[in-house]
Amino acid sequence: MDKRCGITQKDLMDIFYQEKQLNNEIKTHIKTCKGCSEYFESLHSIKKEMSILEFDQENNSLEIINKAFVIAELQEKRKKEKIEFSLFVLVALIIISIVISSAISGYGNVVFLLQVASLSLSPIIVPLMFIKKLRKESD
Amino acid sequence: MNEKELVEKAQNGNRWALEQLLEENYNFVYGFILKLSMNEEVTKDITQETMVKAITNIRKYRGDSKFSTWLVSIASNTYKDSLKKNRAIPTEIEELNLFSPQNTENEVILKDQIEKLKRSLLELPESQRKAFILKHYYNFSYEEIAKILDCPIGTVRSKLHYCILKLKNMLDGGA
Repeated sequence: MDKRCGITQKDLMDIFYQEKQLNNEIKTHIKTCKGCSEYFESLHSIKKEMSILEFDQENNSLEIINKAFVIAELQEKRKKEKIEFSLFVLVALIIISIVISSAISGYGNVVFLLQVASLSLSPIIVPLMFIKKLRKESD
Repeated sequence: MNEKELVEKAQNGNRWALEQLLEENYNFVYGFILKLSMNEEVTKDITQETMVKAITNIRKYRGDSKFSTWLVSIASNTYKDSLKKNRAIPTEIEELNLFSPQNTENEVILKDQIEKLKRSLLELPESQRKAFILKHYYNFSYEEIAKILDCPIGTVRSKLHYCILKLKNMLDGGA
């Protein structure tokens, strides 16, 4: 097979798959070239033989799609939880480092007082937040 | 409702629209993977994984190609990944329930023919097989196949050409 036949065969493939129009040059070539005319015929025979593999499929699309939605939701939830956990770790690390550096720089007493204040405020704030959430939900 | 509207709704979180899009393309994705793997179990797994990826990444779909093209590129990459992970892509070709032939003689002839074709297809390199299936069975344009396989159009033509030459040789009884 020479270079010309290689090019023509690719053109024949394009024509067979309707990507190109058959022109006179190619027509003349396949009339005179046995290899290329055989190639063109083989495209038709491949199509005929391969048509057996046009499967009829069992249709359980709904089941698989619904399962996919469930899996996708789970994946999203896990992803969200991972992000939230990472954020929590980051914020915690920032607070701890601020507290430690403040204590080292001589603000130990202030840090201690702030911690006591925040601990004594939480029994008041947490129930208030809970009530607010309940009101929001009932609205 | 056309595809564009469905995609828009799906991207805005409308589950019904996304379900419609996936359902419309389900048979196509399933058929593509089945022809690629020749195994129903693998096909079911990969189709489901493709659907999951499509659901989680629907907002990333830019709409510059058909939805089916986007979906089949996900399926194609998922299949490729599963091959890389060495996940049970069986070496033995399983028997697919394709037809209900009229008599036993026909059944035997058809089974032989199907086996021969399946082996011929599976002997082709994965990317050539993909190009062939997309063009031959689903009539995707060279441009679309190039997008799916992430290669130039010239490479798609070459893959398809070599694939045809190999198939011709195999079907003629060659190695």
